[in-house]
Amino acid sequence: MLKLLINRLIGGIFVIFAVATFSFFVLRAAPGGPFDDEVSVPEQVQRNIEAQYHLDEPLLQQYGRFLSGLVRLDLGHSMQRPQTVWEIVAQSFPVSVQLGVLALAFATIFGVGLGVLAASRQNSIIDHGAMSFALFGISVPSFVLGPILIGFFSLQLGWLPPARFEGFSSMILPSATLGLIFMGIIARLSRSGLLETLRQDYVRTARAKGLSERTVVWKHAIRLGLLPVVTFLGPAAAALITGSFVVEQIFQIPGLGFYFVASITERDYPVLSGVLVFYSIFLVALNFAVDVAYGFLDPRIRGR
Amino acid sequence: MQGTRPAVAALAVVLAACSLPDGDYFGEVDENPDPTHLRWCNSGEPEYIDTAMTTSTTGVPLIHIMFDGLAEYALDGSPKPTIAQDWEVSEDRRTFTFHLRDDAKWSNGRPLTAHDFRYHIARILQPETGSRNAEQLWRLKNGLNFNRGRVRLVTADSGDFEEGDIVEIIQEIDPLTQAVSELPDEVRSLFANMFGVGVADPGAAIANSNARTSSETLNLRDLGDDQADAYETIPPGAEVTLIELGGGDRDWAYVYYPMGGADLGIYGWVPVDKFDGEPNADVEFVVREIEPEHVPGENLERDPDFEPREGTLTGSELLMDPEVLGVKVLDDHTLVLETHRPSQHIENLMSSRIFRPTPREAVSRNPRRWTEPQNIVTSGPFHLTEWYERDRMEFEASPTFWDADNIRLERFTSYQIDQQAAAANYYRTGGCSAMTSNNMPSSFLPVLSGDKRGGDPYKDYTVAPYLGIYYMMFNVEEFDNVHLRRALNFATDRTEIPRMLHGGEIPTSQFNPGTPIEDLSAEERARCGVDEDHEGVALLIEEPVESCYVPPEGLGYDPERAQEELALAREQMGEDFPESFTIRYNQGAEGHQIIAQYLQHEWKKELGLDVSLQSQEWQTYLQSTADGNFEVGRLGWIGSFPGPSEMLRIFRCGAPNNRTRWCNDDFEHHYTEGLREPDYKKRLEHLREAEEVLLEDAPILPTHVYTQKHLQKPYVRDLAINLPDNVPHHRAWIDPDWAEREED
Repeated sequence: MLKLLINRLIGGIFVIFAVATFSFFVLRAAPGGPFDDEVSVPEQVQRNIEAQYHLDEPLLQQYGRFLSGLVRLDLGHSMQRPQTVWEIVAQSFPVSVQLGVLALAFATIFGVGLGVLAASRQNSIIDHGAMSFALFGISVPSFVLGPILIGFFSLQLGWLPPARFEGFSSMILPSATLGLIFMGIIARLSRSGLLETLRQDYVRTARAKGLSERTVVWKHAIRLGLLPVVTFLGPAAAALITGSFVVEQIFQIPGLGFYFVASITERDYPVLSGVLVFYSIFLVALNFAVDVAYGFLDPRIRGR
Repeated sequence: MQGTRPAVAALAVVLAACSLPDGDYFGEVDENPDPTHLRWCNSGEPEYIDTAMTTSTTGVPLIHIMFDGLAEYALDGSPKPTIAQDWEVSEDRRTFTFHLRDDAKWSNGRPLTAHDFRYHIARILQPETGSRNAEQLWRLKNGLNFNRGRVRLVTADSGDFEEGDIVEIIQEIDPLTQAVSELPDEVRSLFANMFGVGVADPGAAIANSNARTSSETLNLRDLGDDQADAYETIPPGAEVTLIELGGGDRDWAYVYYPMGGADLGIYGWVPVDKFDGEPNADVEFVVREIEPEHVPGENLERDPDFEPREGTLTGSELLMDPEVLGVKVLDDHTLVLETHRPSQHIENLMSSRIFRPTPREAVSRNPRRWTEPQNIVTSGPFHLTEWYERDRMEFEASPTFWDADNIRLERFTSYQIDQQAAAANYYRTGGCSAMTSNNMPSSFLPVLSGDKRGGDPYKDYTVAPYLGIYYMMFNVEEFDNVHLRRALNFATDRTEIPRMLHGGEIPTSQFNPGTPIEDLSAEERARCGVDEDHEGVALLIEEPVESCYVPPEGLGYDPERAQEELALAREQMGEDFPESFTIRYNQGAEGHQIIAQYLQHEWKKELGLDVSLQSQEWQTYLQSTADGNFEVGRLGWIGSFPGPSEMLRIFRCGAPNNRTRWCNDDFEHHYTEGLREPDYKKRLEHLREAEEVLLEDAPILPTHVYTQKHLQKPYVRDLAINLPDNVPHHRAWIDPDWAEREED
């Protein structure tokens, strides 16, 4: 077990290092620089600015500076705004987490609800309707869904605000937009899981005892039936928290995803590398936690 | 972001079309608006709100409401004096003496004086600041050389030089370079190619002659404060840069210490006698005397009889000192600016951010983060109280502002919404009462303008001319035949453009933007010397003298002349004639593609040319056009104040924004004649001739004057719409009785 965890840890550090190196070079390879603008500044001013951020140094020296910072967990200073990368992360990541958690809650509640509804009335019109809706959720990208929801709930009905993240009402549309794909997946997972469970012997026994269908489903079948969903929630949470940048754009939500996208268009090298490194630390840590959890849950892994 | 935006916008408009507001107004209208509070949709998060650093359209309006300066903007967009009560201009227009009001104050209660202006100007020009606003100040005496870090005050008599001389550093004598230069040529070029050693680079960094060290701990504080009041300490032996000397006898030093972190460094005052080390004291520099009257800079002829002294001085004899700049403080309320050549634009620049001081006490402590609400010190009508990154900023009317009685708003909120569809939707559902100009998706324009609804524009939507020009540019190294370029100009019917873009664009073949002459009043037409049948635009100018500039007509649509020019081009170019070529444009706005496709179609129809299109991501596009890697491209240029030299200067030989690579002696001649001319009206004539050369030689193809599109609720008053889009937001007010007025 310990050996496994140490291996995972070393692997994780290697992944972070690889992401850092890749992000360092790939954005620098793209044409243009952080201080190129439609209105060119005179060469001397350009040099003054670049010197501040050590962009006048040879690339390898910059890379060395970057790595030595990374070891000390210093992700550097944004080249576009007066903040360090950590400050940007600290102020925007909680917003992304909030959005991700709400979206996850949305996806879980409605996904499980739909799945159970469909499974308990298999092959009925309700089942087909629920699964079509789930398929819709999986296949419609968020940049299509977002404007549709805005158009209907904000502009047409005037119920919910079309932008910004302030107060509960403004969080409904973005969480729904972000969570719908996962809602679809969860609905399908819980339907198939539940259907499988409903064919198990112990369920048949419960039915044979004369229990009502409701009790059979909600009291006996659901625990086992939803296990696949529970397994899925870990990766889903990670994906929702780190993958919200399109939704953040549409609804003008000040999360980390914005800086991720903006740093590419603005060629803000430290921010791009920093956000990617942060995301990879986050994901590596999450996977590590999952490994530990599995180790505790599953004696076969623990034994190894 | 760039990729998803058009898709998002297109979808949003499809949906919006299903549910168009059917009243007179696009946005929801509040019957009883709060008269104390203006909620404004900005177009995104400003990167800086520091007057020395800000260049973005999202930051500039906010610094204008927070920082007072020599002047603010009047409702017509021209400068209106605030801290400068009056001023004198010398005969040769090289010395400007400003008399400042004595009741201007910072929000911490400290009086705002001429010293603050001097500090701010020097700060922008300091190379360490890395300000992008420095170029406007190069016109000051020694401004350019200071910004390059190459001008020094001589601090001791040495050789031919005396204490107090001003010199320019030609090069640093670096022992390695010196040794390499004595090697045989072949070996030296090997060194140069492999290691970059021994190559003269006029812009290269040189040893810092202002570096200082101390064997004691340095206690950074405000000027004259006790050691106990220090806000930061610097460990013994650390190298600091001396920025300026101050105090009564210049016995205090203002230093910069690059300590890293979010602020990158820190500034502060210490007594000069604390220093006992000068790391670069022995480095030798080749220096040249700067002519006392004619300070080197662009476009300046030297006095032919002047022979500057040259020599070698050491670091200990040289000091980079803001004393050498053409900015002097006569007393607390008198500021003198000296320029190195006659300057026509100081009056126009008075309201610019280069003359809106920053507070030294706040900048010293947090050079980067001083604009955060807990650190900021302001001088203008509004004070920043809260800042939620990428969401909103809250401002409150500042009680310390000298003219606070005439500010009608109590609160101002700026929502930083960079998605145009989100901003327009937010306005529409009543989130904000006004938007910054042009911040709606282009796909909304047909709806807003009424084109799609078969009716009138919404009443809260306004279109006005803007001081900007949209043009196509030719890479003249590829399109080196003037007749080809002229043929393309003559073959382009620009009148279709507003019908395609729906933004009220003003088709033009002239380069200088302005107001369509048909829209001018009779009085204004008289000022311009044109009658109403005169086609094209005219530019009304208020400063330095009331005048008017009517650009030459340029090469408008004329199919016959297009054919003539085409024949000439084919004849002269022979096999080199480009039967097919590519128009490049950048992604991010639909209009660019629409225009490129239109030109493709027109040039096929009129001239039979095969044109292909290529779009590039913005940064890539900037790079490839800057590298000359294009045949035909697009760009826009926005003037910061009305005046043709602001526009024409981008086509000077080798100018950083001249991507066409065009360089024309006649143009240079007329342009420099204009710059030398102290009489402004005569100057305009020279510049008109320069524009004539530009348009006739056609390295460009102007297509339209930009327009500014505004959404403002009907109760928002005095949120001015003017040609340069210089809006004094703090003068706006909310009219609670608007509905009654509307009926009148």
